[in-house]
Amino acid sequence: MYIPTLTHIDQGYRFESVLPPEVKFEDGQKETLVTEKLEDSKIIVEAGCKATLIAVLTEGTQPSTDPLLASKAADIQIEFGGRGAELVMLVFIVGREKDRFHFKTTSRHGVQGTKASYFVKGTMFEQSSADYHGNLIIEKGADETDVYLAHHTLLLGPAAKANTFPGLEIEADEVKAGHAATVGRVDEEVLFYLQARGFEKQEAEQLLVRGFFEDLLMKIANESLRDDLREKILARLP
Amino acid sequence: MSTTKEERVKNPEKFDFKTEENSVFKMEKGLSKEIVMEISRQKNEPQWMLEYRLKALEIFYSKPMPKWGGDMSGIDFENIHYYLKPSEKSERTWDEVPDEIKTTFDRLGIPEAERKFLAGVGAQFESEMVYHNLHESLTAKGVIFEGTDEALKKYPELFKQYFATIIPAHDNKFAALNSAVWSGGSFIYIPKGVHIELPLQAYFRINAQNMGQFERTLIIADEGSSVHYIEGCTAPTYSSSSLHSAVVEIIVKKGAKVQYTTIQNWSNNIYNLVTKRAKAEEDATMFWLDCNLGSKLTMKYPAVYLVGARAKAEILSIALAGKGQHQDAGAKVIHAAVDTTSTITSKSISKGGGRTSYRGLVKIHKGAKGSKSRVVCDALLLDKESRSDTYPTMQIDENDSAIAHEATVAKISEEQLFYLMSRGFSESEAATMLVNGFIEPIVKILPMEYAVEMNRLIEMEMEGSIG
Repeated sequence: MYIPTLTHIDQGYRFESVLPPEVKFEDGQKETLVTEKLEDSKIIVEAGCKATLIAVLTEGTQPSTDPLLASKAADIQIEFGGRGAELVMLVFIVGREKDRFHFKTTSRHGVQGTKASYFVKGTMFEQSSADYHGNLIIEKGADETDVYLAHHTLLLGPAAKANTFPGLEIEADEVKAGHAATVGRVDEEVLFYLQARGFEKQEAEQLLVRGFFEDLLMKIANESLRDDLREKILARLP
Repeated sequence: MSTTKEERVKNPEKFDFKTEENSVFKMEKGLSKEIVMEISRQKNEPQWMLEYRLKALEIFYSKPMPKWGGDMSGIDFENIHYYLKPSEKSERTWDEVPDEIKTTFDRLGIPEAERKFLAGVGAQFESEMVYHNLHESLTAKGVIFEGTDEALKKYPELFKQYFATIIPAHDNKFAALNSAVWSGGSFIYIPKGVHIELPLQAYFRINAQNMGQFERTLIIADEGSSVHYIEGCTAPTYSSSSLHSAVVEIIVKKGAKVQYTTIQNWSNNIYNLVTKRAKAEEDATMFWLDCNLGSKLTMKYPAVYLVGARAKAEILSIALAGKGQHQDAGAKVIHAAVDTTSTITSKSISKGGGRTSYRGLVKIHKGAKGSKSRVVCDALLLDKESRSDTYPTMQIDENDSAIAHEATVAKISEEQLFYLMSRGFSESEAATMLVNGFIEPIVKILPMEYAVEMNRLIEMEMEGSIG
């Protein structure tokens, strides 16, 4: 039976509780990998593959007296094997109590015609914190690369914190590269709007926090996967 | 304590433009305790300044070279003159000045009188008359605008009160170096409620000896005052020294406003490593406008510490890196009070193998409620040989705050180029217009002469880059 390699057939998705140390997206397929915990990893997306990596992080590392443990970041290196390789990485973070999330992605583009986008959204409650270093590196000659990175955080607890370090290193000119980061609270105006329509302040906030993740969730084609992820996020929200 | 207005007006002869030098003493290259002592002796400084310099020298020796930023391996600390008096400063003849530099002067419309000065051909720029007239009107308002060397002597208490309070010697290796061997720079004090309409230009204060090697500038804007200070120029500026490490400290008191504009176009042999920082108190505004066009490597991150409620910081930065250049510039804002706001806009252009890097920090301390910050960095890469980097850092410890950051890197839009070319412009003209448009939000804030020169400079730079 002939199966076209550039396929719209959703392969379903693969679930790994922890991101494996080596991940390869190959054979020109469209593949999704879902995980709940980020660890050091080397990810390769081969030519023609459309890969999606989804991480739903609802359990951070706990504070440690060991300074090495306390500051350790999951180091994720991503490389692209050839033209047509594409990666979309979606990370959902819900931080509660003393949860700490610390990870780094380095997207290295050395060949022509690849795409990558990284969308990280976090809602940090109580004393939780997130540190994200997102590097986009385009090497000389890697024309027609299209990369984007966005990290948006809602700080919803009195001692919640976020540190974000989006980096760009660009050595090719026929490229599109950008990044954005925002940190803040729930928009006062929007809160007021909902309250004016009869919601209690707390209800309104809850609605907005849930809505915060919706745009990323809508990037997931597989509806049942989307519902599962949404449930997992809601279960962790206060 | 500041001197009274009466005192200053009574003794005008104390405010001579030129400083007096002692004996002619040729100092060798290299850095040592003896050289630092000699610098202090030559300037006839009070004991506390000599001690400060010596302590700073020890700090300089004890600190390692930074492991980040540009490539500083080419700096040979022992092969530099740390203090040159005008009488023995080596200068070139007009014939030795490279043709491109002469052509640039023509293109930028630099007056004849200034060309030799800028090209390092010596002969002091005759700005004395201009300076004297300006000086009288300022003095009448109680304003102090002096060279830092002179200010130390004339206003010792005011000087000591603020000197090194924003950038201490141990801040970083190059601040320590500057603290040990500093010479020249401007000292400005604006009394309460005084507004200086005309921009004060460092240009007026430059004698041949103050070509800005290790300048130390200190500006104090007292409550409710305002001033705009400009230094540098768009014309390529020759310097015999290959290491420039200036320190600029600014104190903006309650309700005051300071704008500090720098346009730097040092020749391609220079390492330009600068520490610039301002402290803004309640309701104060600090505005840095930083244009980095020259030098081999510039590392400069104008900073504002917002320490009083409702203080504001605005930092606009343009960087242009051509062949063999690395502009590693950026901005730092620390929000340490409520309702503070900051805006950072950085525009950089890399061409011909040049490299521009934006390095920035936005830090919101816990308790700095209601703080807002917005950072926009855009970079243009004009060809395949060039490089652009962005390394921003955001450290947010206060949830009642709003921070946004965005950055883009791209080449000149093909569509826009095509549009202009289809309307009759050549590719080179079209590209120049687009590049000028790219930096327009910043250039339109420059005083007109500078804006005009900047546009001409871009025109010249662009001519080379489109085949």
